[in-house]
Amino acid sequence: MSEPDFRARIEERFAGRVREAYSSHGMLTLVVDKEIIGELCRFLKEDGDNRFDYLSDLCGVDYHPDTPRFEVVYHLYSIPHRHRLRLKCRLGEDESIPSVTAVWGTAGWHEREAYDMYGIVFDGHPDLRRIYMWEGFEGYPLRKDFPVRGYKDDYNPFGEEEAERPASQARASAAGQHSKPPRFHQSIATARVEPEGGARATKEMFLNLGPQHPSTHGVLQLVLDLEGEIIERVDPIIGYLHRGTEKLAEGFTYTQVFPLTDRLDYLCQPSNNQAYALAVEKLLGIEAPERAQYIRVMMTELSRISGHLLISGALPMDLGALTALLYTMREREMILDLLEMITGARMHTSYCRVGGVREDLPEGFVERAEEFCRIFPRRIVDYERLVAENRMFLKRTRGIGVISAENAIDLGLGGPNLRGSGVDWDMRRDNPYEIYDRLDFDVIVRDGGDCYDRWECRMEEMKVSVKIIEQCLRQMPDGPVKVDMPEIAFPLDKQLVKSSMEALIHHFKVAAHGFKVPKGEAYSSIEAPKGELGFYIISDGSEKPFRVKVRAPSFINLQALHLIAKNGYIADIIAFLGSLDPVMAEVDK
Amino acid sequence: MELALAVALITAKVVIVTAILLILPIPLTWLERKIAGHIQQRLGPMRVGWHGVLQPVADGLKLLTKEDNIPVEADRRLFKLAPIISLVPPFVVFVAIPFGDSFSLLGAEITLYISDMNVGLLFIFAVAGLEVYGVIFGGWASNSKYALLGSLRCCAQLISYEIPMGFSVIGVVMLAQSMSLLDIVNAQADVWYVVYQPLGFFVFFVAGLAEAQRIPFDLAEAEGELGAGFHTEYSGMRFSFFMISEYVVMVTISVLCVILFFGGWNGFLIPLPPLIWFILKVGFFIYLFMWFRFTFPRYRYDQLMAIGWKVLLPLSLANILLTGLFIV
Amino acid sequence: MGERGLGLGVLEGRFPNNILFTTVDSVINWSRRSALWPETFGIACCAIEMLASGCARYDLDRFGIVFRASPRQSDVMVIAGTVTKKFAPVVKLLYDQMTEPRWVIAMGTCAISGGVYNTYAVVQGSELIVPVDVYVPGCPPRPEALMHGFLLLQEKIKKAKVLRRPDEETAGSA
Repeated sequence: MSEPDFRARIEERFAGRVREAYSSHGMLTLVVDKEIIGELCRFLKEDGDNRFDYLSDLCGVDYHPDTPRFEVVYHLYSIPHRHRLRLKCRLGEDESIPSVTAVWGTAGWHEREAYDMYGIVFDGHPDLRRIYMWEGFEGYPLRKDFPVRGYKDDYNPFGEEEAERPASQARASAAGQHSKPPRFHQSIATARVEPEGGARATKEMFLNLGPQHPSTHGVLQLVLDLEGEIIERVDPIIGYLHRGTEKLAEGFTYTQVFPLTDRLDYLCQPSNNQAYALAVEKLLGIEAPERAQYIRVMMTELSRISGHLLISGALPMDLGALTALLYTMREREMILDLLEMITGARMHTSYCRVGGVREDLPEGFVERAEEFCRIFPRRIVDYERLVAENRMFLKRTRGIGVISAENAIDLGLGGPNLRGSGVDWDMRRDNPYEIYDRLDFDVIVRDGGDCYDRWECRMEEMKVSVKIIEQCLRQMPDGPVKVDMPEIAFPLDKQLVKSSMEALIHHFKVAAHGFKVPKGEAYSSIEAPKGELGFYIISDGSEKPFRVKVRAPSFINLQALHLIAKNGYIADIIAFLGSLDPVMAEVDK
Repeated sequence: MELALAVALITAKVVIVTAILLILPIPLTWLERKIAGHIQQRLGPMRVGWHGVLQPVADGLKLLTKEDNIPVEADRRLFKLAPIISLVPPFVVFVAIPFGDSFSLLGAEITLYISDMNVGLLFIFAVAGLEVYGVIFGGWASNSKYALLGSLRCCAQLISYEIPMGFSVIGVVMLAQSMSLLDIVNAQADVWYVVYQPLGFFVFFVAGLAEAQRIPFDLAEAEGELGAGFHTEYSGMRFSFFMISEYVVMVTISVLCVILFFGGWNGFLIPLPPLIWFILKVGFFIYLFMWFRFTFPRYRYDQLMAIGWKVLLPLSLANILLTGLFIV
Repeated sequence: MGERGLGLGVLEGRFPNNILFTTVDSVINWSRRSALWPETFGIACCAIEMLASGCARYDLDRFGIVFRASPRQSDVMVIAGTVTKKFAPVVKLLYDQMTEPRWVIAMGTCAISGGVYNTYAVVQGSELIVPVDVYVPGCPPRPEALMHGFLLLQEKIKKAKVLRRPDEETAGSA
């Protein structure tokens, strides 16, 4: 179904209530009244010709001091039809907007995030609490009038003076209270919701899993209601690693944001770089040269292997088989060596640039990469023999943490978590970007939806990635690795800077001030190892982005945790968590 | 005079056995870390002494000089008692365990056991069962939820596995017509009981793994789930008591496996001194324990219970029945 | 070491600086630096490098360093990652739960100074929460750097006075 078709259907049904409809960088955007958002979303999801069954992203934007001040942006995707749609609603400072949690389950955490960061209230949200900041934090950090360094306290001597705080930011908590984070166990006490009617008899107890716990893969806290070993209810508390990436990005030039993206999913940095670069390139209307695209794809696939390796070793480790992790880490070192060879860094590569990559591949890289492609598939066989054929591992993962295909889509899961539930969707194949349409690869799908299937998906995907890397190495053409646009990228020939005055000025401008990006907005997403990694960038025409929203797949995947809550064992939640593969830095941003 | 000599002899034996058992965790820890290292393609301890042989000594000294912390909300008396309760029974068990036949020294016959009880096997099971109280007390007294969950798991696990373990050796007792370990070993001079009792051995070994709290049954510790399990709150010397106890129990189970099913010190093909044979066999089982630990994941709590009651118990009963038929 | 206790209660810092107690101290210090057990406690990117340091290629176990899950049984806390304001009370709590003697390694720029994250959510240096013994710079530091950090800590432990009185000059070299 083509874009004009569903556009016509929407305009026919909601005549006069869609204020504006335009196409922006290839995505249809509808500006609608906030009153109809619930109805419209339900229509878009359930109408047979639209079937926008997947809510990619939901975020707030602050246009302070414009009025109405806020905007809520929805990015929808249709898995059956493979098309996208953007909805926007403007709302004023004291207005609220209907929640869409009833339409898409995944909206729950998205809306909590928008509430936490902007103070936007969603009517009808079942559990509208702060998600990143602690209860009692004053102000809404992503609002334009909130200082990036926050306000001065014991932990941050560089903050703004408390006296300069505008009155509008103190709305969240009782007046006069200081915004110090509570002590550990108190923060849990506030996070707990007591069941009604005094049902909390002496039978149940609650247990805090984390934030410091060997198996939470970082600083995740799970508040569990237990009856014996069985979990009655789980309440994940995140935000222990919320570092303010999105706020920080608003003060950085477009190139300076690259290192911040590295630190999101810190297992697969090149894929973050790639996703961000693609979004900025979309805004600029440029495309990287072919060779650069091959390099990017190859590095993303390398990082996919490295991310999958860690988690496919960590799951058995959480279940007690420590050795699996040490084997997978051994192969991960090989990948880190390759990355180090290209970029000079083991982990935070920051290798992509807008319009290409930083520099060409080093000498001898191709041979090393080929050697890796030769060795690695044999090692996967080792893991399978050690882990996949182990009855105990099967017993701990088969039939545990089952997510149905319907649930998976509703919760907006991505990557192996979605494909492990039998949803055949991979953006590399279905919405190809860069040079994926020239590559021949399989999309791994498993039907069970349990921990083992997700784990197996990752194992198989690693094999696919090796094939992609081999193809990239074979097909990669010679040529420049960045665009020949001196006002955006450094000159292709570095010597030029020494001889040409113009080149020198451009070089200085790009290095010192960055480059201007035309006004507009763009959403671009890639199939990252964890799922759909999207960057939604709004530009106001300056050198710095006006708003950078990261559609972080781990954040959304983690939301599925409550599915295990019914009748799962403590040990199951460990397996479930390990199979969801959340990276807390990406969850918390 | 004779009495004095006998008393002196017994005292000497007790001291030697206790000393060996106390020292044994040192080489075993080193071995375990080395084996872990080599299984995991690394070296293990290398810097403290030659190839890290002094590593356990350093660990022990460090734990000895570390702050002894008792949580404010803990039950102080139980908290202090628990490591001792956990440590003593595994040592007491060795009263009834023979390490070899007798030999003569200076005309006197010296036996390689402290006491040959006619109810040796019963005594061992009875005393070994006490060890679990240390774990339960420890977890309970710590007043920590992780510790409590760990000790509850341990409690349930030991109850479910003591039973098949007890049943699994009945076959051996029927064959040897005795509960004395010495008689059992002597009865295996020609054929090891593992040949007649493969099922019994299997049940005993699996239950033994559970008894020793080793992977795949280390639910009381379950690092991935419960942090450090029942000893989460223990530090310094009290923590090392639990560690020593864990190793001694592992040795006990290995020794029992050898005595009950693998002919004790009876050699096979190669003529070696009986004691060497004994040590080699025990060493093999200890290695097996360590090998498992670094290969297998752990079972879930309910799966563990299911294995205990639905698999091991029927198997051990079937074993008794079969043995009975065989003898008749 | 300041007024921090070292875990031996009444025996601590009471004895003269003579050959006997220098020897005892050096044995105790030898054991402490040879068996440094860090907490299994990773926060962000640095935790992955910390993990890599424990794995096959780098193998911290060679130095006797094994990770323990319980803070009660660990000697050193490696702050591997960004400490946020929300997480700061937890770091403090974990430090309080550790038993003496205890040390802290701040691993990575975030833990040292907040790094690039000079924002509303991040603590500007873990020194503001717990006393740090060794700083390991890098973003993230390579495993070699972390290892170097551990070796520096061992050097520091070597010089500590345990049973001896802290004020006097050391008689003879220990």
